[in-house]
Amino acid sequence: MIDLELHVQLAETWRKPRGLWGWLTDNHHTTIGMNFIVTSFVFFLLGGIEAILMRTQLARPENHFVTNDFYNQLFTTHGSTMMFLFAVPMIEGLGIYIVPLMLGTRQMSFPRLNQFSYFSYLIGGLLLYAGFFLNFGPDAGWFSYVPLSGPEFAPGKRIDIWAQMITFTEIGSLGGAVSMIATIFKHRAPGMSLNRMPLFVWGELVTSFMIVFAMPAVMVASSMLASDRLIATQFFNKAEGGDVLLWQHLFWFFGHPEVYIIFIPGTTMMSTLVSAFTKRPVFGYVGMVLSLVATAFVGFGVWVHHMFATGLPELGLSFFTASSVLITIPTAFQVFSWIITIFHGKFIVRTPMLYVLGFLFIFVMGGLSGVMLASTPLDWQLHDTFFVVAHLHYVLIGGMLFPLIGALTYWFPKFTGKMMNETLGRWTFAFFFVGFNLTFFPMHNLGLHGMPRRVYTYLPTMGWNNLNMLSTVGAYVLGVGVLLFMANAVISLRSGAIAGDNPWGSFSLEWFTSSPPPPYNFLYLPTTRDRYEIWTMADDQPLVTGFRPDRREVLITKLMDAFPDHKIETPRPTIWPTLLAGATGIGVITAIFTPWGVPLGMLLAGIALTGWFWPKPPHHELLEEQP
Amino acid sequence: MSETAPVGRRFVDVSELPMFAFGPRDPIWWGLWLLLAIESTMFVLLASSYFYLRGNESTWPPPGVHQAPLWLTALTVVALLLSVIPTWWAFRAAIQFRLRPIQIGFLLGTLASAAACVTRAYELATIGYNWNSHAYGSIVWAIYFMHTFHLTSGTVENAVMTVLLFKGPVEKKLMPDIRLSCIYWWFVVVSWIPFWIVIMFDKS
Ligand code: HEM
Ligand SMILES: [Cu+2]
Repeated sequence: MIDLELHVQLAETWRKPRGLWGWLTDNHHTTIGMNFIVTSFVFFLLGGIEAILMRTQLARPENHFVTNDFYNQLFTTHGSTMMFLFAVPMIEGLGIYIVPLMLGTRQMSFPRLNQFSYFSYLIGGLLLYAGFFLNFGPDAGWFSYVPLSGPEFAPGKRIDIWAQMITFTEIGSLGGAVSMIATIFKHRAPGMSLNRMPLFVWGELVTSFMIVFAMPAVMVASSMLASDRLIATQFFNKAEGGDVLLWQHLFWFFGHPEVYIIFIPGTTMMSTLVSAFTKRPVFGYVGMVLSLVATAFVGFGVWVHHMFATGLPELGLSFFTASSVLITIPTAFQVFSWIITIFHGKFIVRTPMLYVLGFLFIFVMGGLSGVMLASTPLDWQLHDTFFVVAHLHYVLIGGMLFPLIGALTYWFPKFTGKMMNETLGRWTFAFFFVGFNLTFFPMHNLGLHGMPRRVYTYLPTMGWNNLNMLSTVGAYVLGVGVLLFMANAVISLRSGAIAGDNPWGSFSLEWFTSSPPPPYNFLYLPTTRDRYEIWTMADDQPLVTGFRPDRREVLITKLMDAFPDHKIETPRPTIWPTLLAGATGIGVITAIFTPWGVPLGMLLAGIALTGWFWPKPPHHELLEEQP
Repeated sequence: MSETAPVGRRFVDVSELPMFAFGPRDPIWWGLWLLLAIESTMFVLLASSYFYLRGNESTWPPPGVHQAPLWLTALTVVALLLSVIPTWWAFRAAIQFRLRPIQIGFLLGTLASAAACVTRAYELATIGYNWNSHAYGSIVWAIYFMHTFHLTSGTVENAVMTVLLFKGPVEKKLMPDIRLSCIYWWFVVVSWIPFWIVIMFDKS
């Protein structure tokens, strides 16, 4: 009886606004998280279509399916989409949805910042595709090397679009990361000390820290590029004392950590799935956490391995070779932990577990080709060939996409309340696995046989015909896999089996509430006493009470031991963060054409910020002294 | 009015907990320091770019470069440093919940930061080279731009806070925010000093 009353009150307090207005104003983490997930999946599809177009073009020698100019736009937009608009936002979105539930809280620390981040990201993505569909998409590769992308060799607005897209999506990533870290530090359920956090939460934490230190580099770089192009600064112009390698340093200081930003949460999705489907804690929790942290640190010290072919001093190269090889140690530790866990546990083969196995296979392959490339002489040989394309897809698809699809299958019931179809799921996996290897394995050989990347066609006499055809067939098979996954999602959403709270019998707190979670997440906040909370809960594990049900109150706990400390009131839905994103959007997009965009953007942003922080009627305890 | 616990279960009652806290207990404190980490990274990268470009040159800055007058740039630094004193009063008074010193601290702090904005404007007007003159000009103007951006937004923030403090009503919950505003402002002050020294005195 009491519970029902509480439910009604909380549901009213945390009610999600509906419709278009709701989408623009809601800031609950499940809404923002889902916005990120769906949007980044759509960008994944767009990037996938570009990939299919590229593979169709390359299927036969001297093909004229697309022009060389369009091919340049294709690989640039594909690479930029996959890295900036799919992988990172997907990982952040998944974190924004899942992590607060895993922590046993009702909301994140900075809901309006999340909302702002999402809309910045969306505007950035739309900007890129506006250019692409108008046939002036960027065409200088996903890392836009100067001088090719500079004012001299890339007139027009293509690269400016790319640069501003970067600014936007990075603002989005940074905002999400800040909010994620604060939430993980301060919103954990009582009892969830740092050393009891689920590994997935650790992964999001480490990744968020990497974002904080890596993303500024690409923002600095892209701003320099934009200003070289727009107001004739000379950062990258040799004739006036500029330096093109400055671009490469700044870009890769971000670009290499970017790979780990994508891949670290991938590994912790793996850990989650391994535990859930073996019914065992992952072997070596502390070692796993240290591996993540070590990977992050080393990840910042290896960027120069992307520049081995630029003629840097010898000693420097040896150092960066060594550190690039070093990174295999923590990774190998993780791989062995999963294998040990799988050997010792039950072995429940459901769809998500298949992706775990697929990951192990693919990732080891990608790691091996990476170790090969880390050696300087070999890299000189293979630099800018399809071997690199093969390597990077083995790492990115193996390290992120496979765990991701597994994880989406695993969390689908939490999002929707329905199970995904198992048979269809297995077929999907088969298509993914076969298609993936068919597409990318031959690319190793193509690279060894000298096929450069980023060429729109090749001569029939080069001996590359069959392997290219094979790779294209593979891409179509992989494409079918993606379609099957979507079909499964749609079918299951309509007529899937009802999931119930915890369909996999899993361990972390997101399964401690109904599926999908109510708008207030938990009727009573949980407490925990060990890792793998649900498995280790006492029969009479205490719950938390004492919030005002008519306000969006959230419990804040201590950093280390998660002891209850104070409460905060989190904001209700509001339009201002969205308007702020729109205001910066107008400024930045205007800045593609005239520098006046910058002051214009600042002015509009100032207005939006004023609206955001305008004091609400006071309803908390007042200071004794008043003006 | 508060939730009641369900019968027959142990529970942790948090109804008596305060609605705000100072320092690292407060999530916004973490938010601020993370923001500062981002900004510092940005500044460090600008500084690294400066020295990277410098490494290519034998004469630095390039011949014919005229900086803004030293006394004028020093005036900006002095105004910035002076603003620390009143904001420090406010910072201390916030944790004691004393309104008057906070009000005065912010009023004086805002005046000092506004003064810094004015001298900065003159500085920018008297710099004897342009961002498109050479790479040196580009990087120094980039540094100026970044810092001036922070300077103006920080000043506006201080001014808004001052208005709110004089207008009232003031909630206790505002006190941690007061302290964070001060920290942010000090970051704006401190981050300029090394850049100022480098721009004014780094010659070869
Ligand atoms: C879904 C199947 C995919 C296929 C069939 C595919 C295919 C390709 C091909 C053929 C290229 C090379 C174009 C060239 O150099 O001529 C390429 C480049 C690239 N792909 Fe993919 N890709 C796929 C998924 C992904 C994913 C999931 C990511 C990242 C998370 C990704 C990231 C990249 C990057 C960064 C490049 C380099 C772009 C550049 O050269 O600037 N791809 N892809
Ligand atoms: Cu790398």
